[in-house]
Amino acid sequence: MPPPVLGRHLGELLFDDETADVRFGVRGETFPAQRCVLAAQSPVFRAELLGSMKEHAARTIRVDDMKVPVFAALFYFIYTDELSEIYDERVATMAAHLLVAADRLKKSCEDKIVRHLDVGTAATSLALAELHGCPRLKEVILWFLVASPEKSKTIMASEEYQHVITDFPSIATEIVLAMLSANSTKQAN
Amino acid sequence: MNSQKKRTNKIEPFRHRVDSDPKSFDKSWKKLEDAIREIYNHNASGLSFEELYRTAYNLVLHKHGLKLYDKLTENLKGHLKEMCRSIEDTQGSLFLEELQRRWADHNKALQMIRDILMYMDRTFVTTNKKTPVFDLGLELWRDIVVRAPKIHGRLLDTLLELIHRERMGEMINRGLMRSTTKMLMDLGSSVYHDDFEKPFLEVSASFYSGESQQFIECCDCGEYLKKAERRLAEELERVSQYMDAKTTDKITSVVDTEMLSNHMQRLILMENSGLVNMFVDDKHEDLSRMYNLFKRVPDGHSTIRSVMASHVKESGKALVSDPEKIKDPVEFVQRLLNEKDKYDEIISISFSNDKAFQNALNSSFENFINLNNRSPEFISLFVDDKLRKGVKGANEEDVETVLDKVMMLFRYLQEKDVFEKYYKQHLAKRLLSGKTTSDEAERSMLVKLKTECGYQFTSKLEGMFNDLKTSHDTMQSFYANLSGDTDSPTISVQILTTGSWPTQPCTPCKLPPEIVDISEKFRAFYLGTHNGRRLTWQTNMGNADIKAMFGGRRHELNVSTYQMCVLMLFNSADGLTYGDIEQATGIPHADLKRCLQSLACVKGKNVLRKEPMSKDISEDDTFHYNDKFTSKLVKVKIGTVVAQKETEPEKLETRQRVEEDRKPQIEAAIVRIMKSRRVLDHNSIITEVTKQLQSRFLPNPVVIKKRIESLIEREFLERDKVDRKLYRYLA
Repeated sequence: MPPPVLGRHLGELLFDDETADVRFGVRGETFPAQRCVLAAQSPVFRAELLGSMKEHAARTIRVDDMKVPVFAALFYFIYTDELSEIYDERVATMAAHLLVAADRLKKSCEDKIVRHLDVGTAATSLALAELHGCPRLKEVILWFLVASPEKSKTIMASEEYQHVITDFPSIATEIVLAMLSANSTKQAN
Repeated sequence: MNSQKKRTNKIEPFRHRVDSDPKSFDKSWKKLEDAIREIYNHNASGLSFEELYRTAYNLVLHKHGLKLYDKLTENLKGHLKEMCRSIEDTQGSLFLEELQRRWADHNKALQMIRDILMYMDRTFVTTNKKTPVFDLGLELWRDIVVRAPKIHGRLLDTLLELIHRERMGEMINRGLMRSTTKMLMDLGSSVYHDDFEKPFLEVSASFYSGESQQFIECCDCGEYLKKAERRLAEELERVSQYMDAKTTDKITSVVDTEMLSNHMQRLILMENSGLVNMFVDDKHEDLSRMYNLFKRVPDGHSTIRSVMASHVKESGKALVSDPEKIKDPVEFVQRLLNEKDKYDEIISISFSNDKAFQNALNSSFENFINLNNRSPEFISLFVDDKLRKGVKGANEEDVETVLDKVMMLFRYLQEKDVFEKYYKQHLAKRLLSGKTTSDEAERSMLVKLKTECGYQFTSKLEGMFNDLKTSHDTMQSFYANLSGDTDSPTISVQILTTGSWPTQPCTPCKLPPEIVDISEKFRAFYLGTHNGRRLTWQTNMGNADIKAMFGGRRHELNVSTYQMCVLMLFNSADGLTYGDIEQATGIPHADLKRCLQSLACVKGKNVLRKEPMSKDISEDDTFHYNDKFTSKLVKVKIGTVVAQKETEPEKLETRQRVEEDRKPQIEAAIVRIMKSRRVLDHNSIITEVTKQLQSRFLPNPVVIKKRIESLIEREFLERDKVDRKLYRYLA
């Protein structure tokens, strides 16, 4: 059996003008797309593009709350099932944006965020993890915090961290518990 | 350059923003609320899915899921209450239509609402184990609209009313029915069941209970069954058109019970039109219908079977006991064959060759055929008749068919050994008088009997055939060897091996001198080649052809040996008394009487004249040659030895012989069984012996007991000293 080619062929439809039956307008830029491909990959797109509201008949759909590169990466994922590696340095940031934008990317995004976890991104990642229900990500971040008291201090001092605690008070408790258990382990050793 | 590019392509890091506007929930909700209203007003096309979805998404993200859910529930309830009112207010026949219209609207709206709130469904609803949006919408519809007090009862009544009208012949809107029942099913199979199916079945049961009562009072069995069949088909069609498939079995079960089960006995036993009448009149279509309908009800088929069995037994019993009907044995058997054909046809056409029915028929036949203990004899006479005369207008195949059918009757006989005895007698007469139409058919019959009963049954019969063939060869070589003397009468001798043939012991009578010579020559010839054997003339079985002149006309008389002896006397004497004849011929008394009767008292065959002219032969009678005898035919047959139904004394004799023959067979069976089992109790012996012999006859337990005692006397067996019922084999 020759290797499957469907994925690759569908991927080639990405941003293809000829077969496009809808356009997305994102902050001035236009992206052509095929309704059925999008509908196949997401029930939300299905409801939007094939449903009975405005968007069904619209030729262009405006998207205001997403940055262009994020949007492009999202569509890249939809058409190829892969997270694009275009923006290497800011991959974590991209992943954060995408996590917001698309549920399905969750796992890949979680992986990316974890790999590039540092003092600067820890707090917001924690908020993301809590908001979007990523328990694995949360766990990793907690251990990250707990592993080094230095880092924890820096993180907890940031403005970001204050926002997070305000919105999700329970996180504070979880951090304390994590620290306590880490300490006792240390003491046991 | 590079850093500039980097800056333009730089993505800002994600910042988590706190939502600080307390009124933001209300604003967002208002958007959604308005949108829902537009949706219910069929104005969805003006709405932006993007916006609404995002609004709901943000609400959920900011932990307002519960509030959103509750607001949604309230909102839906409001819309539904409005719909409810408009449905309630609809008059008369438009009620169902309005309900359907609103249901369709609600469904469409729900889908769109669900799409907008998809994020809530997938996160908040799942985590908090709430009912998903779409299902919530269905539940609310069920509780607020369908089960509204003013709608619930009216809905059910409307549906049942329409079904009733359709049953009474009206055309109704089936599409509307279909969409209404589908709505109930969408609300849950328990809703469909409680709010429609259960009351539907109850109402149907009472409808069919009433209707069936009505029908059974005014229709005969055949008509009733047609109506029941029709109603059954209607209900099946109705369910397939506008109800859920799983109602099919439930409603057909109701019809089966009310129309068929409850009236089964009355229908089957209905006077003038019931099952028995259908049998009598060969109503194949009605029987077929009854078979198919009663297949569906418990005990349906078993009841039909038992009525059939007892009817066949009854009419069979009448057949075999009616003195009129048993006068002619051939007619008797033909009637049995006709009866069998009739029921075979019924079972094949109307009962799809059902084996259980075939078995019931067989046991009924077995039952009544054996009620008349002359059945074995009559069946043999029937076969005899067919083999003599052939089957009218039939070819070889037809004869085969008839014989096969007769074999079926043969199988039913319990006293097959009686049949064997008669068959032998009849076959002997056929062979000796040369009166069989087809050798093929005779052989074929033998093969059938051999297949059925084994080699022992037919070995002697085959011996009879062989004897004739051998005799034929012997005769040829006798005449080849004979020299001179062409004046002697021609003889044809059949040499019968004793034991193969059913001969009565016979003292040979005195043969006329014209015959004695040639017959002694033959005896010498035969014994010359077969030393050690003994030949005895069976003068009670032969026949002769005599040339005679009556009033100037030549005739050829075909007579029995006895008759020949008597007639030849008149060559040398004119008038003879009974006593003269008896002395001269040596023919036994009874045979002589019969013989003289056939020669002198039968119209058209009276070659002798008797004085006095009475019908009976008395010892004072005198006989003369009757030169006034005339016949249109040149060849006159007088009293051939034809197989006839036995007279009472003959019958008793045969039966006695049969009983005698059975004794050794029973004893042989007992010994065989005891030899292998060594010790056995009385009842088990009876059972085993019966089992071993039942292919030939049914042994009488009393006779078995006597045989056991005889064997004990002869020290083959002994009784156990402790248990009197136990027997032991003595080696």
